[in-house]
Amino acid sequence: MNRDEKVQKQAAYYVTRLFSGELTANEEREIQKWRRENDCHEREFNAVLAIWQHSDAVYRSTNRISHLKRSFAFAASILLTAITVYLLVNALPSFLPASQKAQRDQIVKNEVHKPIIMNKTFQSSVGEVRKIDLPDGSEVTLNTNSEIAVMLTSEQRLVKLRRGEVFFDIQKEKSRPFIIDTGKQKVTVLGTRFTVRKNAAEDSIKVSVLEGVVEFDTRQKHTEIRTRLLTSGDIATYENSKISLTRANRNNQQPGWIKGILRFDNAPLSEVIEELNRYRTKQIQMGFAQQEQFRISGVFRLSDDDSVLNAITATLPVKVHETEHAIELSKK
Amino acid sequence: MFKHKAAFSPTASNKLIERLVNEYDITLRRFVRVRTGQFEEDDDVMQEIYVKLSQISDLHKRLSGRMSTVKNYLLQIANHVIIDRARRSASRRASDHISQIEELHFTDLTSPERAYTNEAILERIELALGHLKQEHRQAFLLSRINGMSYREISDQLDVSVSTVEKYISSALREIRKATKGLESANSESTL
Repeated sequence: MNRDEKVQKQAAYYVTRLFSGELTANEEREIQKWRRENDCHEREFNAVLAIWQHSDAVYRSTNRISHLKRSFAFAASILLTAITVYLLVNALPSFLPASQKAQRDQIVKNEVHKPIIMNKTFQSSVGEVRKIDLPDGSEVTLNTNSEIAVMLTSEQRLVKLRRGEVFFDIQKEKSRPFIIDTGKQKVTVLGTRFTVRKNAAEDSIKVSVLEGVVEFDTRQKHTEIRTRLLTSGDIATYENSKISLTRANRNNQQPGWIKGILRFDNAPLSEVIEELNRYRTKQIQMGFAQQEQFRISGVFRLSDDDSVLNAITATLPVKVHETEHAIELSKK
Repeated sequence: MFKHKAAFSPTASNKLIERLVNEYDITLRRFVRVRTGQFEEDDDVMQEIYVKLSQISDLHKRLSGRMSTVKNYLLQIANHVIIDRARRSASRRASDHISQIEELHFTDLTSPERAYTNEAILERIELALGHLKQEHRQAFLLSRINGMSYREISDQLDVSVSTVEKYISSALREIRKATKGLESANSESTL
């Protein structure tokens, strides 16, 4: 073992010991002395600390997960273990009380025998954003082309998300959980504000938590249920039987569509158009493949149909051709 | 050890925090000193840990049934406090023309350059994890992602705590080798 390797080994061991929480006074002295001995010791110690720090975010990005799946089939099993509970150690680690574990295995029961307070279906049409006040004081806002069924009883508050995207601002009630059932997945609200989006075409679901704590259960195969706790700033995406998690850039921000705004931050044009089309009956079609440099940033009013299109034609080498049934984009 | 009904009383919660902070005072201070490499800051950090704990409204609930891992939980909080402090000091420095070297040490985590480097580092870490021995990877991920204590990991993997430490420290070494060179842009910022 050469000198560099010795230093590496020592630093790795010291950092491991540091996070054991079992350092003795002697060890503390030894470590501090070692760090002062030589600049390269201190550098190495800090480098290993940096790795320790960074590595609590591994396997969080969607892209990297798919990349990893391709490269290392064997990573798949550990991935699941890894993702299962990592929200527990996010930002502030939270410890799941034993009492909740018992409740986890219950999946939404459809048959409700208690008196029904509300049992109603709500829809929004394409381009419409619709706010609904529920009798329990919670507010539910439907984004474009969405549908929910609300069932309120004295024991349970259940919303079935049939399609689209919904923002929930939930009145907390200890004794009456608020549950969102999307078919394969179940979201139980322990905290307050979050959105749920169901993408029918891809059979995927996305939960973004703005505030509070949300429990995200997914049914794997037939019986197995996996539970994640999501907290403020977490975005969980369930797709192809896998959950991936990311963090929102801006915490505690309502989604723009509630106020009739679409916000894009260096988003690929294809993504922008896909998003716009959710709000339009007359669809925009892209007559060319997405290229890396075709990106859009900005804040646009949903009511002002042309503003995004104007921004696209002003900033990208793209022209617009409107036909009876669609708006076509082509390269200049 | 902690009664559930006590969770609703703020005084009970303060008592709990005081007890925790007293009981783990030596451990936490030692952790803070070694983690930061500083000898004077531990009072401030302890103060902030106290405040942070008092902001966790359901502390009793979080700790109930997990007494064996309370220390691990406190270490994680201490670690976050230290990171927070470094970030705050970084943004203070950024506002009054800091020296190059300090800048290297405290690059703002949220800056785009920083985000890019983070991504690159994460990717390399994940790659390196793929090449680790199964048990080394497991031990490392159970610690870093699941937040388990070494004791819990040793129970799960059915090996001794010192073996867990060996696994984790080997994992760190391998990852360090695989990420060498990447840190050059940011120096070895401990964040």
